[in-house]
Amino acid sequence: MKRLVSRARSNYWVVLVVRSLAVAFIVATVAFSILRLAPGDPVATILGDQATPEAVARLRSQLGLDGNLLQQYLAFIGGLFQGDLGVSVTSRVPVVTIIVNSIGPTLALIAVSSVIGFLVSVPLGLFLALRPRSVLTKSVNFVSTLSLSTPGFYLGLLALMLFAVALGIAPVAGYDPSFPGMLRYLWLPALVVCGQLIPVLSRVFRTSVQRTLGEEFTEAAIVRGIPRWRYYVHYLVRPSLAPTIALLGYVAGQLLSSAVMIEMVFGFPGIGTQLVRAVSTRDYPTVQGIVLVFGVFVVLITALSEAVSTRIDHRIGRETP
Amino acid sequence: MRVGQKLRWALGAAAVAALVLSGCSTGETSDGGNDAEAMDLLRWAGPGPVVTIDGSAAGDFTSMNAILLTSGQLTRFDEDRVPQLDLAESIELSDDGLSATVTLLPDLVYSDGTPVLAEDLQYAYERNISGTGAGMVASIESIDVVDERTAVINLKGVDPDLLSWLAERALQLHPKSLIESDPDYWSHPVSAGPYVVEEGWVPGDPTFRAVENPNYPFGPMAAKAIEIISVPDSASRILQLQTGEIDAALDLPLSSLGQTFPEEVEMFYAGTGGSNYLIANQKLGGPFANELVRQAMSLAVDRERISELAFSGIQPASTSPMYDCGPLCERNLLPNNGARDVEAAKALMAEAGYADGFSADIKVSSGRGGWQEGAVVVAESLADIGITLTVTPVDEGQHFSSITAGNYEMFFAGGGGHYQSTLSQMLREGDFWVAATGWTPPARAAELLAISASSLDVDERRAAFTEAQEIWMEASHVIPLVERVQLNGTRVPDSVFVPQIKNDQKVLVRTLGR
Repeated sequence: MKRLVSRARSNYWVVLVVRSLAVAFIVATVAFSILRLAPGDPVATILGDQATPEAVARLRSQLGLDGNLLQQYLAFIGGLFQGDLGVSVTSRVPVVTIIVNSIGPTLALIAVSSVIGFLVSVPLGLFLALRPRSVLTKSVNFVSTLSLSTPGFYLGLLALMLFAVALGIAPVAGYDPSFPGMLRYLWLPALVVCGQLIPVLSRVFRTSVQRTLGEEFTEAAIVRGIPRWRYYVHYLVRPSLAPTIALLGYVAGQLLSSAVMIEMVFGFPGIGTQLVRAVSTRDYPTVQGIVLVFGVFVVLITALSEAVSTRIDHRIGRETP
Repeated sequence: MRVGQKLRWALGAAAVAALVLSGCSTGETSDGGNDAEAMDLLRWAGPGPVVTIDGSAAGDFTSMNAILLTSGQLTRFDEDRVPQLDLAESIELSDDGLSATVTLLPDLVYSDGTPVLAEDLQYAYERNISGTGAGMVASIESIDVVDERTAVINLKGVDPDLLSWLAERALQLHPKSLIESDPDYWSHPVSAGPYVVEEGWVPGDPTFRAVENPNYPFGPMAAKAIEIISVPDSASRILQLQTGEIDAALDLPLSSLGQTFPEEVEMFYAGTGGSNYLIANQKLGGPFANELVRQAMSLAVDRERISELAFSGIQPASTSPMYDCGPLCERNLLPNNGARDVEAAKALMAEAGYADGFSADIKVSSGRGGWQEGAVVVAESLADIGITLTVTPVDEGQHFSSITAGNYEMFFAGGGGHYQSTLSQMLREGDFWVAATGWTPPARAAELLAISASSLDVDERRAAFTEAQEIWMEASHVIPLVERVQLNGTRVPDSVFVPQIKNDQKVLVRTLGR
């Protein structure tokens, strides 16, 4: 029986890896195609009003953009297998270098936002579930609705005006890659992200707790006189966490794309900023590389959240092969 | 002598000695230059990152400024955009004007001690023949090296703007030996210019930092180190300037002039050496290929209203085809000095056979401040002569590609650069705006371009510029609208930093050494 379970689990991981590679390949192909089908020409953008026909032809050849689409695609896929994502057409820097240098701030933002969001959402959701009719609950619901309905970039600008300009307790823009210096630049954008994250996570957790409250084992725990803290942690929170963690994994993947907007507002030198620049200049290799990384990240983070959910809630583990 | 007298003598002598000593220097002679202290770090923010220090690959203004500050230049622009000798001790033009002998300053070395050689100038030229700045070296036939300090620039024809070209990025001096031996040279270049790129910089990094080059002959600089920060969002740039996180912010939205800034922030704007234009695609035929229709559009468009509504009244309405380029460019050449004449425009439309007007699509970049609004005003003003325009914004990535591919009917566009280049783009067969609009210039245009590009006589050049602009007005293939301006904000005095020199988008960091 143990061998069967073990084999099933290793099959699960094999399937996960294969699935990740397949998704990455599809994402890469889509990224390659869509950008090239979109109007715009990186050579014309680089040369601007210096773009005589001779200059355009010369630069196109230098950048390897003079072959047909199939040739360019095959060169791209061939490079992928060698770990080569190409070279930026605007800066001539390897795309891998651009990604490595810019993904750190974005991942830090996502990590800090996720941790803060989770640590606030769980107790808040628990409170909302246990005190559904309190004035505080109604106030929290109102603020959550307001926050969710406000566009993220506007929230960001408001936060900048208040904390950075009026109060002067946060920098307006920039980043410090060292720790703990980076926290000074991360806390405000993370707060803005959490303004959209906490209302969602806390509501999901509240619903999950309310469902758990109806289970027989929670009633049994009350009857047995379990200490309050143990009741909350082991009989309410832990069994209710799985959906929230699964959602957090999904949202973390979404945060990567919403990071684009947050990075623009806060002048954050992350991968989102690089993506915006690359799209506006039609820097094909950079866009392809970044979109590929986005796809792989989403698959991995989703798999990670599934694994954590399984670990926390053994009921899920018995259902998963 | 009594004791009291001795004491008075002693005190008097001490006083005289104190006066003499207080007037003595420490041994350094004053050269009459600026004795001000340099600031430790000068930080300014622009709309994009420094993507390269290689002049042959650069295409954006942020990189261009970084290149000029971290590269050796034979000449360097002052704040009035007049080229001054920098690393060149002398540049002597031959009697026939077809060659220039350049002599470098003696004992010049790069920041790492490598000697600056005349062959580095030759190498810069060769690298840029096929680079993005090829137009800047187009007048040069070849460069011959005479000795380590001397080179001869052989010209294809007399070029009155040679000293200006030598101040541009295409002839930046970097050691040939290092470039050829190190494929990653441009990630950590040495410098013969005022600053040297700080170790660890990666092209495209949002922060570019350079420190003073101790081997620059005209140092020390008014700032010991500089940082160019990429802040794409203009609102963030403004906030950073307001809070003092940066010392200067370049290329701000013109509407931000109305915002409140602290007293120590100075906002100012200057011409960039360019204009906004309205163009029509003559390759499509129909009304776009009709010269009378284009002349009518030029008469009907409301330039003052474009300036007022789209550019906060800051970008002046065009009064001549060329922007203000000093003594070469006569002003007020446009009919009515550029003011509207709707009746005359209607008469031309009727003469052209389009009394009832026509419909068309006008594209405009969505990424440029004020341009969409300008296109809307163009549409409103041309509606008065029966032309119905639909404004179609396109993202920046499509802007130039739509123009070069002829994928437009009309376009609200912009351009600029060196006045000779601009004139060439407007009048030379195959050059940018001629090719983009599909116009066929007359033979006289090429003759005038040759005169303006080769005459050393200012009056003769001016006359050629004027006649060329008259041909341009007649064709109206590119209709000038407003002259482009860049708005900047700064917290530092211009004794330290000039965010924008006249008629250009280059910055100037002052030197304390001359």
